[in-house]
Amino acid sequence: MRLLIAEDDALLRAGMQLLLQSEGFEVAGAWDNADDLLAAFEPGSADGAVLDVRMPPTFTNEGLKAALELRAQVPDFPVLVLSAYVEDRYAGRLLGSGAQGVGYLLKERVGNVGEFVDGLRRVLDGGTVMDPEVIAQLFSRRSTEDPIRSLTPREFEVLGLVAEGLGNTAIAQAITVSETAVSKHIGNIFAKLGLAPSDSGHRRVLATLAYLRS
Amino acid sequence: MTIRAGLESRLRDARFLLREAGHWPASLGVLVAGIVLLPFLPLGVGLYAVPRLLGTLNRLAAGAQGRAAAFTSAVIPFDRRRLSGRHSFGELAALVSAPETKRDAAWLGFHSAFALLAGVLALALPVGGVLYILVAPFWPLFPADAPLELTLTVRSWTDAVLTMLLGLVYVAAGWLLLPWMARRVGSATLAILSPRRYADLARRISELSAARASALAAHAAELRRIERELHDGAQNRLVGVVMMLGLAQRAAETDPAAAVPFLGRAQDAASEALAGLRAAVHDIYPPVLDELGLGGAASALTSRSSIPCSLNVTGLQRAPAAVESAAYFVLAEALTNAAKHSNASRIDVVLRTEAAAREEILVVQVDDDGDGGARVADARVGDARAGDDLAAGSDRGGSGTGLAGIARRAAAFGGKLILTSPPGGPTHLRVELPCAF
Repeated sequence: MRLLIAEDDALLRAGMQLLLQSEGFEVAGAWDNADDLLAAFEPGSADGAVLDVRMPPTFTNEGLKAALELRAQVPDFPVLVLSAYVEDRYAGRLLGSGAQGVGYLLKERVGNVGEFVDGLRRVLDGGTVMDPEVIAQLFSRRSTEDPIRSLTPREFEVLGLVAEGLGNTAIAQAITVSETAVSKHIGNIFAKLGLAPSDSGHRRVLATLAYLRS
Repeated sequence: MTIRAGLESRLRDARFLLREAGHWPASLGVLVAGIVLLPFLPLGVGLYAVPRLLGTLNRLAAGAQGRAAAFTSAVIPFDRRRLSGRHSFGELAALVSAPETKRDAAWLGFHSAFALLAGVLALALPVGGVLYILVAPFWPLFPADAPLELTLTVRSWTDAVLTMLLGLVYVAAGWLLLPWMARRVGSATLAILSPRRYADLARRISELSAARASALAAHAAELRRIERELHDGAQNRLVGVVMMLGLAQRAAETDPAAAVPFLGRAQDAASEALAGLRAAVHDIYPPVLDELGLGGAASALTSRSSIPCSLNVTGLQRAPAAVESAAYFVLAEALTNAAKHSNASRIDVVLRTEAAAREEILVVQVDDDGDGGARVADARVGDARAGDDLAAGSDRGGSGTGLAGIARRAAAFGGKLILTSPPGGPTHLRVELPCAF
């Protein structure tokens, strides 16, 4: 898997390169700004990109714009966007560019290398990965009449894991219950939220986020 | 200012002047009517005509005041007298001699005399200039017995070029004159129509509004600067820490010895994060300022300097905390910079409060006799700390990043950095910070 990196902080860029290489990825290029990455990008030259949101010159959302630009050039090009803070509008804009192969994570998630790399792999496989903080932020904005409030704490937890892009098996492992229990929870969640159940992982995230954003 | 912004502001000027010119016939009409009616005022016709005339004048003046206030964004701190209804003869006499009436009449004279002229110039200079430039090249199309007449009679290419140059002069004159004319017409209208003490009050209000706006802007810029420093500085370092720890953990699973270098890097990154946090907190408000004031804090800085450093704080007055904090930061940065890059043998620091045109400014002056050649780089403060053994190829930040930080800090307070540093030295650095908060 050949990856592109855009991260303006030299230490983090080098660290990210090291981390990805030691986990068996190939780093096809690393830049300290989004424009250079876009200039060097050729369709077919890489399988995905990891981008910091804030980069020169304006230090606002260059990385996000670059991610959208990459996906405009190559539909569903896998991008994982890293951010120092959670901004659910960014998540919304990313998902707006198509559901396949997008990820939005807080930068500090790289500390847990195993989970970070799993998330990255899911994105590269065309899945969707949203940071738990994004989900929490969306939840906290909902009013009390929302059906989301009728979820039990366990169902809430499961929905969070669903939104992160985990499959039923992974969720079952994460909260140490049986897989049947997980699918029962998910069935309940979709029933309470008025959504039709579906098997595909990223579609579940989409449905959830689409509902939450409405 | 960009051409586009300049053009937009001049279009606004032209609109204002043309609108004034559009009201000119009404002004002239009232003026003529007033002069014609003057001899008849004591007669019965006065009772009928004067209230109408004054009412019309009052409306015209009120309209002009409103337009001028809108154009100059001025505040009118009083209610205009408005005339209405019938008046007895005694009231009329009082009305005619009232100061408001005199001001309205003075404005009428001003408006009748200048509004048309200003409007015509506002239109004729740019339009005429452009027309000259566009039409002159077509002089051969005109028959010899009726040549093209544009100020000059255009009979040859020399004439055409001269005419086009004249057109350029008109356009340039319009470009330079328009803002001046619009400003003068606007402010004269307000000045003539406002009672004297209110005029002062209005000016003071607009000064205070501007000062408040710049204070708010400075505050917002400071908050953004702090946010950026924390996110891009300390937080990124901490991300580096967890990243290195994660790598160490992964490495330890296979070979515990391989984890050690990562732990070292994690520790380095953590130390940098601490240093970054300390610097960020210190930048927000250096505690020493509270204890010693700016003069004392500055003397603590200069006495720590590795290059012999003199300090002069005569004529330094207390300034708002935020301004003093910025001045302290500027001085600290300037001294660090000089120590790192100048090779100077001595530094002279002057801090003083100066009276500028509209407000007091706090001046920080740092002169050294070093190598010179300092310049403001277009880079961020954070980059100077980004160095690490992993950071192959990253610039470690020369003198320019420190100076860029100073320039940014000054700009946040509506101040400026003036730097003269010829190669070979000496370097004069002067930062002016307005105190109007």
